[in-house]
Amino acid sequence: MASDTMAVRMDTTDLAQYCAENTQLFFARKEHDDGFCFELFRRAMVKKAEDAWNHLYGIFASLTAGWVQAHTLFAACDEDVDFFVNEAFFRMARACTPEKFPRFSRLAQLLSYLKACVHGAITDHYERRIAPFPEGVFIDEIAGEPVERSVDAAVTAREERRELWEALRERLNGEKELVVVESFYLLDLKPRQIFAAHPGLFTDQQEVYQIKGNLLRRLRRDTELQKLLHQRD
Amino acid sequence: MTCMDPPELTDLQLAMYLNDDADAAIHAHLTRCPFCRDRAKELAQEQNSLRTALHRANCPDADTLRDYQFGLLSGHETGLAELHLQVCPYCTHHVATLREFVADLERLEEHDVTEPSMLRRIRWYLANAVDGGLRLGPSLGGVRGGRDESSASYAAGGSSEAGEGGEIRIDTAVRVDTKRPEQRVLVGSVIGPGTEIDDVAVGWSADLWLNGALIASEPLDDLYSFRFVNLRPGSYEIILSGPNTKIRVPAVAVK
Repeated sequence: MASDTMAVRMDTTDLAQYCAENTQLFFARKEHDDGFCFELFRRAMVKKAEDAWNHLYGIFASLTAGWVQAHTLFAACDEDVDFFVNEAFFRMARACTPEKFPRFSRLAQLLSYLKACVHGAITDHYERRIAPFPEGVFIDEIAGEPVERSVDAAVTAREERRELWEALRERLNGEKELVVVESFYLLDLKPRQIFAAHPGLFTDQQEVYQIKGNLLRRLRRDTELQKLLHQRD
Repeated sequence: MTCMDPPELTDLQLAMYLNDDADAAIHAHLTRCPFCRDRAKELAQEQNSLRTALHRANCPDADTLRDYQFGLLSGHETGLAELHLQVCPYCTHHVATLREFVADLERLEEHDVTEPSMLRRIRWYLANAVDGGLRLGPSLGGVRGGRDESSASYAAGGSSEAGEGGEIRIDTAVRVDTKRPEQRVLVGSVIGPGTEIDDVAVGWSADLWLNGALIASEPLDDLYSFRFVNLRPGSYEIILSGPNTKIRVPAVAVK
């Protein structure tokens, strides 16, 4: 773009001014030049210039707010728009390193990435605070009688679960046990789905049940693992 | 307390009950026998406990999935992500909804950012409703009875997306469950490229989502068909996953 050379030499405040003006032209569906905004992003991400970030926020916060409000899970999150706008910019700042930036060649790509940060911010919040476990994970009744939930379904950080998984994985024998445990307990797949997804690995669906049953009996006798599990209850 | 109707159910039979694989005899036994019912509850609690303690423990975080979608991971990281996406309905849903969310803006082109030796293999499609009559395959025609409430067809792919050309079509029908009229049965079949590459529908599955929650997941049968039962009216999403293929049908009305 003709602006590229000019933009690189501009003072950040002037650059932001041109970026803001061209963004307005874009929204008005008039001819515009992306080069100024692209350079502003470059300064923010490659040079880590705080003033550039502040300007970007000022220019694109309202656009980002619109994306937040349009997200299907936003209404269920019980948080205000600004929370997610800030979180999206934070994620972009953290993620878009000097090494990654050269892979972006157009402003639209950077904005797409910012919009993707909105998606991540909202879905993470929803999973962590609102619905950490899909209802399908739980069995709530047996022949019409309720099953008491023994685990508090409040927030449990994914990092904690990862630690428990690492401890459990050390106790598994072979690929079949790994596939059964990972598919059944981590991904909530049923034995018939596990068999269907790995037909060359298991003889039949019954084998999946057998492996699961044998493993469960072994884990019940594992006092160290039981301690780890029940520390969380 | 002891079993009211010996022999008592085995652990395997109880596990099958908890995972919707039990036959009518097991269901009937549990209705009659409080002893076996209590054992089933204990097993359910144990299963609930382990599942909540381990839920998605091995899933990449949202930032990694975002960077996968944008082609910003290394070749090795991309390979790991794709291996995981082959099996994980949650991460698949995350990426599929992310793709739709950013669809109006320009994405990074694969040739701009992906190492040539590690081009991503999973093809992602968004299916759109199409006009035209429902072509029911023999598998759909044989679904347990009920009158059709509605039918709809969706198409994904086409020469620009499928690469090899052609289109993937998903036909669906919603039927009233004659035994429980307040509930619905959703049946469907997948026709098109990818499904015809293999002789059998090995590794294909259908995930049913409602309001961001995974409701049910079923493997496709030999004729690439699926069936979901006990559904309430609502607008569902379906994600169909095959070897290196993901198809999202964003809005399937069950009335």
